[in-house]
Amino acid sequence: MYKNSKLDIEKNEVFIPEKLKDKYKIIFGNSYDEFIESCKTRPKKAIRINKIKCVDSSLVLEYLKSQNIEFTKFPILEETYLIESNVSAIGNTIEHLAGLFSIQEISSLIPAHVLDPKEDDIVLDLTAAPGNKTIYLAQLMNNKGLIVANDVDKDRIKTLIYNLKKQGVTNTIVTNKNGINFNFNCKFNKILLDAPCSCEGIIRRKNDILKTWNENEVLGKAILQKKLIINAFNLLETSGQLVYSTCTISPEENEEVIMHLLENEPSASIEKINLKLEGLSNGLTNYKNKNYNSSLKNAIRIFPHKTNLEAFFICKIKKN
Amino acid sequence: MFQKFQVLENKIKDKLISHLFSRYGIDKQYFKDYEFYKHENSVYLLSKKYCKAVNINLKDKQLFNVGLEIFADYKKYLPSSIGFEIFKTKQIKQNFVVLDRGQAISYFQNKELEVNKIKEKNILSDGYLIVIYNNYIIGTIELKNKSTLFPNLSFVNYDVK
Repeated sequence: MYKNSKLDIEKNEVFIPEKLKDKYKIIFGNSYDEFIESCKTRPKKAIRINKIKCVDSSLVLEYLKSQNIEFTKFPILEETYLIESNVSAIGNTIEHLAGLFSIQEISSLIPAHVLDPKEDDIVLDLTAAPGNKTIYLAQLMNNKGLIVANDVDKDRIKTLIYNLKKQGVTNTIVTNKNGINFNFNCKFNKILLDAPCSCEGIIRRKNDILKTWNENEVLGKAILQKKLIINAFNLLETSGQLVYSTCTISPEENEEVIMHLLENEPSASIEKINLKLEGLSNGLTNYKNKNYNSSLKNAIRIFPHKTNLEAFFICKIKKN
Repeated sequence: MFQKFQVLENKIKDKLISHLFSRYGIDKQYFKDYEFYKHENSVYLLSKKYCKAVNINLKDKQLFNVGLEIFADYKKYLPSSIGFEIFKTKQIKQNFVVLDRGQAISYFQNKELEVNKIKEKNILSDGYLIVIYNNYIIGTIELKNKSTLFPNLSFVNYDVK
């Protein structure tokens, strides 16, 4: 249902560097043309009703209906709806200003959903700003337990704090530390690492995002991501779970980061993700001349041409 | 040594909880699950369960926020409008106004409102009132001279609709 848009598809021109096109031809094979076409269309907007503040979601949904805004429930995510109408300035409504709902990109919520935190958990969101995933984690935890939301960027911390406040989150503390050597007084039983990346996956929303793309940026990000994931894993208690995610497509920032963890931490193993969502792809098990650990097929790839969502990579890891 | 956040003294905590009860009717039991912290004159609520177990290092210079700010200045009982939105309307017994949509829009645009134009209200005295719209709390407003209401906002949005 969510794949079929009622909107007229407006085609945008997108810029993809030649080197990146060559890379995508390897990754996508026969679906390459389909992938390129999907990059030219914008993903639908979605809203997530904030259950912390809005006990009765019909208040928001009735308002949308009164404005002739059509929407459909997105499967698997709590109180998340795809907007089917052309709308502008939905962020200027009283309901949005009061924090009753937020405007989200669907793919970005899925890592928090996969982590599936409970009321009793102590959770670390290692690179949290601007806070959309943190807020969703807090919602899933019914504002109980404890979340430590960390980010290295002091300016983005201010946005994070504001967003948490606006959504009524009371179970979160915010720290401003470098994730590479972040430490705390305790280990965590769940950790979300939505790593800084080259953002190839948001091309549908920002069609010139790749104008400054270069291979060195990818490799530089991969070095950072490998350091982050090793530290994140060390912060995990035994039997704890870590979800690693990015909004980029390059295997150097995804499967190869997981491989780095598996090679350096023998107690790490990849868990299967059970997501009832149409069009998901498995993680890659090989790329160019490299073979990856076969358990990487349990990671998830979200591709726009198969799901009508923004590209994402998600992997769930357990500490044995 | 620098310490940005501190656990709020019990005496002040009890005073604030009593104020919330006497001013708005918010049941004191509501706060049993929260720890109170302060930073300068602001007061914050943090879900209590793991505060002690985790032993948050309040002396950590890189600790930037703890829970949700509910008082912007506890010495003046100045509420944080966004923070007060965590309460539910059924908890509020007095000192509130219920706005219609047009009035709620004016509120977010930081426009003054006349109390006699508000149909549904329960006001005991001047001071900060809770603002309700469509059965949820959208902030706080200050009543002066029993007649004029001044929005207590941390941001203004002139494009609200």
